[in-house]
Amino acid sequence: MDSARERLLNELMAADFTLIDLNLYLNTHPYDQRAISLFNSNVQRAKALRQNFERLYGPLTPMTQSKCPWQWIEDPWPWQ
Amino acid sequence: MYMKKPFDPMEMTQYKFPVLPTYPKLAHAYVPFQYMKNVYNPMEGLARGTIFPELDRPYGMDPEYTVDA
Repeated sequence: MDSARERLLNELMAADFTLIDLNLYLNTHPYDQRAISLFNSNVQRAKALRQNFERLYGPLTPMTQSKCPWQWIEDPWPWQ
Repeated sequence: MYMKKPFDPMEMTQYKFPVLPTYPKLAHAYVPFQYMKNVYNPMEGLARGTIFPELDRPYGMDPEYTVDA
């Protein structure tokens, strides 16, 4: 996997992790406006990163639109 | 005499919970309430396993809570 691709994937994983941690915090702090703002801005960021990655390197899940031929089976796989 | 107060959302917005109740009861367990302060940036959070510096306590750092150090 080339390094630009890996860097972008790492950034997306980090953005998703931030969302998971804020999700857990907000479950017990549902009125924390600051945490909600932070969550919302991170949703935007993660969404942009995901779209950017998928536009450049193909789908991360088989839940997005595909060109022909079917892109899901294209190399490299996540572990390659 | 302890009286249960009705749920008040406005009070929740302030999060004015004390760390422990004024009169902690014997044989009751209490967890201090967390207040979000600054958080790590996403890359640092992923590396540390939490975005909250106050929860960032890797096992083995505190000898008192380490059994096999």
